[in-house]
Amino acid sequence: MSNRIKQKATTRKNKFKYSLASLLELPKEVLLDLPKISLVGDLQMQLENHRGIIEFTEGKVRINTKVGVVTVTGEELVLRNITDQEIMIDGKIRVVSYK
Amino acid sequence: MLIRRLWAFFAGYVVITVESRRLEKFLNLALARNILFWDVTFKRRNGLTMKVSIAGFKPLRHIARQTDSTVRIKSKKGWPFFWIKIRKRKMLAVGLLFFLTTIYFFSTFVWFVDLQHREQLKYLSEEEIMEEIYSMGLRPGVPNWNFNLRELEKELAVRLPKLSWVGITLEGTKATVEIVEKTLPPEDEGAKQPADVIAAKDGVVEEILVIVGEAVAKEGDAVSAGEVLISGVIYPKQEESPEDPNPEQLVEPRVVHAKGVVKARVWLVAVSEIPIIEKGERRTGSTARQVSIKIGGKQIIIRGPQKSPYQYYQMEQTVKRLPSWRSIKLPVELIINIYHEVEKYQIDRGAKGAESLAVAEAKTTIEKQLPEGAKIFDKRTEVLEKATDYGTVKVRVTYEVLDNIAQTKLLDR
Repeated sequence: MSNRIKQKATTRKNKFKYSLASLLELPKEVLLDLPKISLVGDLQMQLENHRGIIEFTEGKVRINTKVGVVTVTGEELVLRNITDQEIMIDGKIRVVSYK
Repeated sequence: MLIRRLWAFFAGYVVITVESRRLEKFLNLALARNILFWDVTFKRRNGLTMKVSIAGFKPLRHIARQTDSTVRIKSKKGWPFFWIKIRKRKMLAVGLLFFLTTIYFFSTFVWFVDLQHREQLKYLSEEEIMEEIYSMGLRPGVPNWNFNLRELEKELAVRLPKLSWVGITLEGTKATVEIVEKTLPPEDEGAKQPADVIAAKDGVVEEILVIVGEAVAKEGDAVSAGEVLISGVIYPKQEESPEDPNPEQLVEPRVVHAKGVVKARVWLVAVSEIPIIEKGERRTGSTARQVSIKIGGKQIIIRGPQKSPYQYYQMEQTVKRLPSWRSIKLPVELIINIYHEVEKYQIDRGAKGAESLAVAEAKTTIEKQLPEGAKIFDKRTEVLEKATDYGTVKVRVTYEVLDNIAQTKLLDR
């Protein structure tokens, strides 16, 4: 999977978009359709631009995004708010990682 | 978040448990269908609870069928369900409505009349005043819309002439009557008691007219305030004493209530100080109003500017609070700030201008104390200080006038 992402990131179109975003200081998540993650301490995580939930248990949430799967591990995780755009996770967050 | 929660309450939602082998698929399908759901909590393997909007519940069942899930309603919450409950229990709703209207209706009546006076009442008793207030129509149980408080105030002051001021305020169901009694001159019971006539102020006696008593001061005497001018104690004449058959017997002096008019030259002095350059602020007349609500420590501006739109301003603040009940104070306040724009000004009068202004000011203060038709012997003006360091001019104006300085002082025995 990581191979595919690399491929995508290296396409000319994406390169152009990336430099355009850098030049005009535009939000990259909008132009490149990337996920944007914001964390509030270890209590709350907000993820914008997701592509569906892969796994949801009390200790682990896996969310699909354009650049791969974002895995959140922690305790007592609750999906506080979900729309097709964003996901907000409450609980005690330990690890946020890309795979 | 609060708004979202309020919206959820008004729109209504159901708490459901979902059991499925493919929970993630279930969630993704729900997302794809734009179903509004939130607070997804993992319960056990293949089981979770979540909250779904009423509108989203129906399509959810469809998804449940697709993904072989079982959906169970745990509870129904929010206004729509509450409304259904109420519709089933009409009498409850009627009772609630009745209760609210009754409360509202009765809150338009006066239930308490409270009398307040800062000082001890001297001439009237509280009962008398309350009786008067009741008889005017302000009594517990009357609706509060059919009287004019200002008229009542005037009427009460007319009915009880011993009151100098009456203020009536209505706060909810409580009418507060504030009164101030007149200070009447002490009744003339002292007119027969023995008394001296003393000098009210320093002066030189010009004329002394004794009506009752014995003159102590003579014309031309300089007297100081408090000195006895006409004595109320009259000793019998000297030549009578030798003829007295009993020399041992003490001659009792006659005591009277001394009366008289003592006209004396007195000095009225006034000192006035005026800055040469006056700096100050005055209002330009333009104002801005800001209305805010303070809840606990938070202040929310409802109307008007965020802060004063003027660089220089004076602020007038009125705080309105809900009436406190016993010791419970609600931490809610309505704050109205009125900003008055001010401009700085500077007047340079010059030393001469300041002096003439100071003299004029001092003269007016003296002339206020001047007895009517007083004879003025002399007017003197002296500049005390021309300390330009301080930037002020200080003058003293002295009037020499003829005034009655007689004052009655009861003799103490």
